[in-house]
Amino acid sequence: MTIGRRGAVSRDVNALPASLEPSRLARPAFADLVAEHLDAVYRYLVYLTGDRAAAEDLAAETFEKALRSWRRFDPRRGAPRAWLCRIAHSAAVDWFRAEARRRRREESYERDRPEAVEEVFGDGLSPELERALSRLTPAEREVVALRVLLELDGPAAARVLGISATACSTRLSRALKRLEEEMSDARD
Amino acid sequence: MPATDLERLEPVLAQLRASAPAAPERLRARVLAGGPAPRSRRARGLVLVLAAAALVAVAAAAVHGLSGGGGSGGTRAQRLGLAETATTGTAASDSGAAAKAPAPAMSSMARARLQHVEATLQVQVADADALQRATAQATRVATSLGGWAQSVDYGTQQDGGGDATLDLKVPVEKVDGAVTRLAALGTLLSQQLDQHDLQQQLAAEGARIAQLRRRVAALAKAVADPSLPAGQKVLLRIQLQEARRALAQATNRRKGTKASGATADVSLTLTTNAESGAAAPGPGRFRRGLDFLVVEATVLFYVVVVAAPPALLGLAAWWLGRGRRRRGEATLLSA
Repeated sequence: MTIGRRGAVSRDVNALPASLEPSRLARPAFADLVAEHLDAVYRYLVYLTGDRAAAEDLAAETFEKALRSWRRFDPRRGAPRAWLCRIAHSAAVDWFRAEARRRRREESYERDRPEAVEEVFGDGLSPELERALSRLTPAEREVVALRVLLELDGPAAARVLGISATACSTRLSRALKRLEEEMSDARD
Repeated sequence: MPATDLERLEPVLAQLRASAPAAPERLRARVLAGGPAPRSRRARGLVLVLAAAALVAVAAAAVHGLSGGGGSGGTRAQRLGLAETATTGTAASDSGAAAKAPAPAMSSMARARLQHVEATLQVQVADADALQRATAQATRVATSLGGWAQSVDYGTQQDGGGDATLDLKVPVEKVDGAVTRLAALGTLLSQQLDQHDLQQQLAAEGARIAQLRRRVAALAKAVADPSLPAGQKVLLRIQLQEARRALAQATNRRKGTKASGATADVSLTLTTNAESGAAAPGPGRFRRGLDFLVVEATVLFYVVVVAAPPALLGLAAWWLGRGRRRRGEATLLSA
């Protein structure tokens, strides 16, 4: 992977955009979809929520929703991974709303919130990187997950986030800069 | 962020990718246990409802077209099927196929109950000479059956064409024969027979007459009473005169009703012009069905026009709500 101007990420191995690859135009079986994309969706949700248990539940919910609307999925309109991420994003936003309501009710969430020292965002990540990731906002972690971990191209990631491709690049750039800053702070 | 800075971050990004968490096996099993993809019942239901609505609309148009759609079909059928045949119909909108029979139904019904019968015929003749002969013959037909010609309006044009309109009265029991013979005067373009039941009216008038007769008899008996005071006797005599007058009127009305039921009105139009208004063919079944579909489309258009403003308002509300949701979502994820 190389990162070009304005922080745009592209894959060297693919000359064609991911959405135009011939293999993506055929509708895969749902079991194949699960096998191929479950890890990606789970990682995306872990980064977005910062909570593995919640990510697990949300991933299950995402695939349940995808299963219900699987017959309406049109591979020509987008790659399955981006489609699943859009569903996951919607489910995660609902979860965040519910969490916000819960926090307001309990009013003790922030006080009791522990420092994220356990492994959430990766298996074997350095503590500095883990802590730096935990200090990013969900929106920042989300764009990192989509562009870095899931390797979605700019337009596909922008569609998942519901923003323009330019805004998506800007958000990625700021997120990575902030990640670097947080890591520097952690080292200091 | 400059590319050089990003290159500096590449080890971090590589570490992120390398240590990305994998989905637990229990999650994989949980997702795969979801079962086969169910059919989208809502989408299928919507398609079925739309298809059913379209089918009902087309079926209604087809039924409308086949059933004649308002009475003009009978005229056309008679024009097409009975051009050279003198026939009678059994009702106002009788079809040509039914009219091929001698049509005894109306006659027997008319004989069983008192009914007023009106027949309207349009017959085409070849030219002005034939028109003249047919007009005279029609008058003779009426008189030979015991009726008469109430009015004759005869006119010819310089181009050799012409029309004649005859109002004939014939005994109701002979109206079938009259129609048969009148239709044979030329080419039958159209015919229509209407019958109005007079039996109920006749019974009501009979009851009224009987009531008035009883009243007259009672008043006459009272007036003849010698013990009645003179002043009261005068009042009774006035009432008696009124009752007798009312009785006479009611009796006349009943006579008129009986006369109306005894004679049939036959309106005969003889013409040299095949394209006259009454003879114009009605629209075909396909055309009638098409017209009905146009009416349905017009109604649908009005519904859409009426529903458009609230739909636009709803769309605007949805759009504003979506923007608000997105802003809320951005705030939520940036916290």
